[in-house]
Amino acid sequence: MNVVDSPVETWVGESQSPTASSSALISQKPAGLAPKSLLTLGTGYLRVSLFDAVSVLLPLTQVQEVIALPSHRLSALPNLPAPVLGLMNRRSQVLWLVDLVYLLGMGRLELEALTHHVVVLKVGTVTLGVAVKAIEGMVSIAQDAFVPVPPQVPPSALPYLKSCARVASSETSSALLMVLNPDALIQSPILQIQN
Amino acid sequence: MVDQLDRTRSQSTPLSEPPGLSPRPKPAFPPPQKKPSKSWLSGLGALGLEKKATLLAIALGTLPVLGIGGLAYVVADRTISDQITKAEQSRSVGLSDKLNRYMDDRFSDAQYIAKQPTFANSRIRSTLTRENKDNDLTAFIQSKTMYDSVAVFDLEGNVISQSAGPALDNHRDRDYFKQVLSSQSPFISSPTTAKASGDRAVHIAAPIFDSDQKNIIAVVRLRLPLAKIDDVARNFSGNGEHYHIADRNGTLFLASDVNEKDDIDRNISDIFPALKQSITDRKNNTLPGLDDGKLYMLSYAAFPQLGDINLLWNTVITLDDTVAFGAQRSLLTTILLGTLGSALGTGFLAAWLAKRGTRPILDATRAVKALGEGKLQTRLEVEGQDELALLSGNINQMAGQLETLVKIQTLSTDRSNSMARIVGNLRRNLDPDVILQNGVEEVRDFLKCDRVVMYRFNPDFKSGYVTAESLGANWVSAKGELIEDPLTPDAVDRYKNGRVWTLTDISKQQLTDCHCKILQKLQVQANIVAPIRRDGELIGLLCAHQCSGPREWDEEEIDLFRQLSVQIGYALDQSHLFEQTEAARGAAQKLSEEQRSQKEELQMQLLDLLSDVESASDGNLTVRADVSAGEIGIVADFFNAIIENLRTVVTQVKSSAAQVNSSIGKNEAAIGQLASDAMEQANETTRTLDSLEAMTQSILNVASNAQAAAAVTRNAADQAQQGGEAMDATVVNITALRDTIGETAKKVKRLGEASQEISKVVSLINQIAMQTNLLAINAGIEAARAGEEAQGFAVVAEEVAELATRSAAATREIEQIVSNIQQETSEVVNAMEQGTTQVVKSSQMASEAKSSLRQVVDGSRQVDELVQAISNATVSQVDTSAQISQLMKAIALISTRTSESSKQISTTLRETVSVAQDLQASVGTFTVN
Repeated sequence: MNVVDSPVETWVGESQSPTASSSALISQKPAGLAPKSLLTLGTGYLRVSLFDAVSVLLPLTQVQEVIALPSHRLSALPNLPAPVLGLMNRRSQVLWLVDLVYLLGMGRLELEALTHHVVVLKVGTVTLGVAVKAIEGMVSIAQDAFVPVPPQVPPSALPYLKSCARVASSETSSALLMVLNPDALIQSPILQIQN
Repeated sequence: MVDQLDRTRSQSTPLSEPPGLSPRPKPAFPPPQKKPSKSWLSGLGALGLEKKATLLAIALGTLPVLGIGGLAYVVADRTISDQITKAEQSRSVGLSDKLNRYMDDRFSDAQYIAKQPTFANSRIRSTLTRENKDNDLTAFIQSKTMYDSVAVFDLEGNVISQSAGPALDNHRDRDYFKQVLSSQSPFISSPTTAKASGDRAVHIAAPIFDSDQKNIIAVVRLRLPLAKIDDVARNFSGNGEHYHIADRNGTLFLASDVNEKDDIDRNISDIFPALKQSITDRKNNTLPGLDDGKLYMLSYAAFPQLGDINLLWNTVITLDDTVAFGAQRSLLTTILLGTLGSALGTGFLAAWLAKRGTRPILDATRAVKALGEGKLQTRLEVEGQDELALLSGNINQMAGQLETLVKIQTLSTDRSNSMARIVGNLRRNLDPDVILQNGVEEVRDFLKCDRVVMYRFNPDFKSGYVTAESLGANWVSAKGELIEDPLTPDAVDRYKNGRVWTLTDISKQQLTDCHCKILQKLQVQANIVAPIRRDGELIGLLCAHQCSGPREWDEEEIDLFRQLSVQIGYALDQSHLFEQTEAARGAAQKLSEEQRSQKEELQMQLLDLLSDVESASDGNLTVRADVSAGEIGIVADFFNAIIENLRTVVTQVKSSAAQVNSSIGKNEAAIGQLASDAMEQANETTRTLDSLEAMTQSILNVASNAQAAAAVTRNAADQAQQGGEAMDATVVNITALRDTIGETAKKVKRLGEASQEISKVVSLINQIAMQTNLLAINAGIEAARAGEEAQGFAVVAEEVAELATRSAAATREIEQIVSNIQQETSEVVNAMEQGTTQVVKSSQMASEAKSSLRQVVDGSRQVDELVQAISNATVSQVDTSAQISQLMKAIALISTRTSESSKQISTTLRETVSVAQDLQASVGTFTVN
């Protein structure tokens, strides 16, 4: 089994045509839920999809919560960097909402949906909302599943990657997913300039 | 006259009533003797006037009396009956009232004793001994003598005290005792037979109350024998009247009539059945009724309630009917007798008056009837001066006039008969002398006078002869004498006008001398003179003389004398006419003799002429006759001229006949040619007729073909019409189909809308599943953060997330299904729209087909009309060719006729030739030169 080729094909094939069906809010794949392994902060990851067939993993240690935000509760502001979508209110706390796809340089998130799927990240004292296409679920990844970042990964996304992980997508197949580094995301130069 | 009247009366059958003499009896008053029936009017009409008047008078007299009498009877009867009834009722009510009051007093007595302190006051009661009490009660019944016993009982019925008399036993079982104890009030018992004495009595009982404690302590009882009540009521009996008193049950206990003692203890309803209803109703009433088979006036009265007591007893008073109504009956008998007596008296008086009033009318009727039967001597007796007397006088006058007229008529009839006989005798002869002699004889016989003469005037009227005379015995005859008695022109004129002159007595009348002398000579004392006229001319006088003495000529004799003179004149006219006729006949005979001799002379001359011209008949036209003088000479001259002319004519005929013969010979050939040509023309015409026949036949064929074509076309038009109707039906069906498709499309669209609703709901479910998933993830995050302890929670969260995922999958399936539905729906809608379009197209095509069919129909109709026109044209052609054929036949006929005429002309010409030759031959017989 060629573990490298398969995800590359997926990325290349899918990344250039990020059209998606509006109804696919949740990935059909049971993601990492299938193995009923013990889920801890150390091994738990949140799997989110950016667009069709492209999913990434976020470490649970830095995820505060996930929410579905109605688009009218998002307040757009002028003169902000392109990835910043606007301000949102979460339990009397005002958060920035950032387009994760844009931030990774993989196009733009489709914003036609009435509801934005938001992952609230907390890195130290900084809290940030990132908008994704869909939240797929939680997976537990063993240490031996981590592999080095393959060369097919777009360069714009490299600064934000921690590594890659092989995740079983079904009984017989598996996919290679990017694992993002929330610290890098928050320290992103695009956001920093603005700050 | 009275005899006659009596005779007519005895003869008289019932006189038919003269109409209008008496008024018809009105139907309101029919004769009482006669029963009304259908024919009573006609029966009445057959009655005589006297009987009718009598009947009417009796009816008028008696009916009112009878009516008033009847009315008075009815009114009096009713009034008296009412009065008697009321009197009886008041009697019975009075009796009941009186007895009621009497019993009320008895009631008061009982209460009086009950309130006596002797019994009511306990202290006084106990202080008094039995003897004291008995004495009190004895004293009481001595003062009130109607009671025969008074007693006081304790509540057990034992005697406490009693009036003098046999000792009483225990009264506990008595009815009135129990009644008083139970009702605690006074009581009057029904009359019963007392146990102690055996008498019938009424018991009055009252309770005694203790004056202090107000409770009943004893009962007082008074006994009242019925004899006492009888005493009270006695006034109500006698003079046929009896009373009966019954208790509340209707049981009779008291009766005044000794005969009715047996009825005691019987029920009064049974005794008086007529009153049963009144007794049951307790209603006062009075009516007649039977008791023991005898008629009584029964009066019933119930006892009314009076104060505290209500006895409910019953009273009946009977009164003998003869006593009650005796006075009334005698009064009514009087009225009846009086009425009948008055009616009889009035009737007799009326009948007498009617008879007396109608007698003169009846007498007059009988007299008129006798007159009508021809007994003109009948007269009526005139009495008084009223209208009836006037009528009788008029009838008498009328009878006298009738008698006179009949006498005059008889006389004049006799005279007319003798007149007719005389005229007949006169007209029997034509000789004037005989006529005159007969005339004077008849006149003298008729007038019974002494002499009648006929005096005939000479033409100057100065004198005349007596030409005829009839003379009685011993008188001077005047016959044949010349009498010089010149008439003045006035007298002539008078006589010409038919005047008759009479002389009654010669000694009393002034006459001219000569006339007087003549009359004296002839011994005439009275005379009558009438003119005799012949053909209107005065020729003489008819004089009748009375020589025995003066005579008064009456009008009728004068008139008859004049008529006789006229008749004699007429007879003379007749004889004169006869003489003239005889003379005319003689003249005519003489004239015919002369004519015969002339005729013979003419015949002789004619024979001479005939012998001269005899040879002319043989054709010799050269002979000439001798022309002599006279008519025959003229004839001979004419004959000669005619023979000469004839000779000239025969000469001309001879030459003309020769010319005709030659001319006809020339013409005969030409006429034969003409006949053969005409024959040829007739044959040609016949051939043309055959050709024309063939042409007519072909035209008829064309006509029948055209008819067949028309039938085919009409059939096609019918088919097209049916096709159009089928098309209409198709269009209607298509329209219905279109509507159905539209309905279906609407329903399918509604289905699509419903599926959209479903997808909205599915989206909502999806949203919820997504939220649930997020919450599950959050829960998992929190569980992971919590560490080992929250592993169970994490598992639950995972399961929730899984459930949410499955929900989402399910919703996706639903979405798929819904989208399939929507897609199929839209396909169906599209198909429907296409179907609708096709339907519209179909209906357009159908209407186009229909219009095409209509064009077909129109076209075939036009074809039909054209064929019809062709048919008509052929018919007219057939007519025309028939006319042509007719004409051709006429031409052929004419040609044939021409040919025949030519032949006839030819024949005639030949005959003419032979005639001309005959003429030549016959003319040749005449000798001309």
